[in-house]
Amino acid sequence: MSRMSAFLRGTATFIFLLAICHLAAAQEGPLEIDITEGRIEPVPFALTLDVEGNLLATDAGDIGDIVVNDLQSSALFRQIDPDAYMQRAADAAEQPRFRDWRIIDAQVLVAGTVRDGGDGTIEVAARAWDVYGGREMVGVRLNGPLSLARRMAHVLADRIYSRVTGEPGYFDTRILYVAESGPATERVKRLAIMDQDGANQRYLTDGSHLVLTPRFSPDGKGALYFSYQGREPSVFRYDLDADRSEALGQFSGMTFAPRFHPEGSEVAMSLARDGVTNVFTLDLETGDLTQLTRGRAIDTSPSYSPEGDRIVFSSDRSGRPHLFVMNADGGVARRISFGEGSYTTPVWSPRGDYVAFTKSVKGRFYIGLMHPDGTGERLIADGFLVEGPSWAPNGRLLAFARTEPRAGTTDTIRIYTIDITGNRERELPTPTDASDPSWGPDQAAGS
Amino acid sequence: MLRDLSDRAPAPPEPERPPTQLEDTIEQLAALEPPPTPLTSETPEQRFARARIYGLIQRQIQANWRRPPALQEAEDMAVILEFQLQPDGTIHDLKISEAELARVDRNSLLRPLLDSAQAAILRTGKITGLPPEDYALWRRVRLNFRPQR
Repeated sequence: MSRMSAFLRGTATFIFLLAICHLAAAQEGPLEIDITEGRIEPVPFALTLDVEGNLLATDAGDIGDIVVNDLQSSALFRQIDPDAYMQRAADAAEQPRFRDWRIIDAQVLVAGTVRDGGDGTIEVAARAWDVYGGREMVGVRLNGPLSLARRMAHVLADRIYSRVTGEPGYFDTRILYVAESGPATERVKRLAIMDQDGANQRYLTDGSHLVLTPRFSPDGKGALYFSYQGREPSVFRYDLDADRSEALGQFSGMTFAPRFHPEGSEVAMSLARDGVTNVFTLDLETGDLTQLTRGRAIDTSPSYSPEGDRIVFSSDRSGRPHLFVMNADGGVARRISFGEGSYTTPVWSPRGDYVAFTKSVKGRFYIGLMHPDGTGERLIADGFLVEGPSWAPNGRLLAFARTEPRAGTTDTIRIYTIDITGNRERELPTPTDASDPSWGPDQAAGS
Repeated sequence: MLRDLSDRAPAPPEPERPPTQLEDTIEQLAALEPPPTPLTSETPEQRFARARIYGLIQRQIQANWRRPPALQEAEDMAVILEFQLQPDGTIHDLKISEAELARVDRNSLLRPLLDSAQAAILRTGKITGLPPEDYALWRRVRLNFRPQR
């Protein structure tokens, strides 16, 4: 019995030790914690550029301000007041003192130099630093003529934006639009272009003819637009390098300019013939016109998917205008919109994940998004009249036109941008009323 | 004297009998096989302490975490980092696994999340209010940054 008791005592001791071991093992592993609720606020950044003295009064002296303006206009970044900086630009460009930048809670530091490269050129060298990690995030070195100082700033801002957000930048881009002036009865509509920040405004046509719905070509070197010169509507092609336009052809029954195939060699458009409106494609090389839809319905506003294999368009074949998707060579179209109201002017996102559209319900207009399979519809902007969405090349922002009624005078119409979450809406500065925006591709990618 | 018993007939089976106290003990021993999760071996007091520590660390890190704004639309985004805490709560030895780094390299959208997570931990610097008697519980911490809408 005593041997049994001794054995049991030994076993009990073993069990106790085993339990202790288990607890110890339990504490060996790390404590696992989910972090799900962070603050959603702009990234605080500091920017300090050491600009060579003789360049301060030139465009090169504005590079820092342009980068700051680009980043802050996205509403994803917030510049820390430069008065709080504790390190000189030249020193920060050499080696940042991260402790000093942490004190003012700069999450990102952009430090660099702008130097005279001789023969009218400049050299911009800058690095973005992860202040808390104490490591370089991105380095940029750009050389070019002084006349390209603004673009160099946009390229630098794009690189910083892309590295910090994980999304492609959109600052080195331009927007085509229709500049409107004069009373409603004698409205002058000119083709115009500007940088995405409203700089470098330029009129491309003289206003003698009405211009409508310009479309940037995929390579950014040209545009198509629709104009009434005489009684018949014509499509014109504008060469932005040569600064000249040429007639592509007359298309009776056209209400919107064609939209480019992503490869640029073909366009899709709608034409009204014999009282019915259908979708056609036009080969820009051969001039061959191919009809894609048939029937009595009004099929309009075709827009290609980024792969060029499908087309989304608006059709009233089910009663009110709704959105439909078909293959790029025609065939059966599948309806993707089912909400109340009318859905028009669909535009496929350059990323392929959304279709933007104009929607009208009970006398009010909206800019909306849905996935190409029709799921996830949501409205991101509204107004008395909002219309004509156009995607930024990164597929995360849209430009659109908003008309505001003004009693006793001509309504005002302006271009706004907004992100796909429905936040960060802002009006683009234009010298006159502005409509029909077409956001061009990234210039650096195309050059 | 040794005998070879190999050619002997097998012994008849032993009759069934009720388990002894020793066998009961062995069953209890078997019941102490490592639990599926450490929590099953904790007492309610330990679970309470663990939950309190969890909340303390979570709150202090979250207060310093600026979510990358462009990630608002992203789904299934998460990065995992580990660090150790000194007895006074100071964070040190911040680490990310090679596998996690490879995952970040494959998805550019995860890079800002990782940057923001590292910044949150470094900005926090020290976790305050942790019970010293439970140091073993919070000596090592693994954070799963998983932004929710």
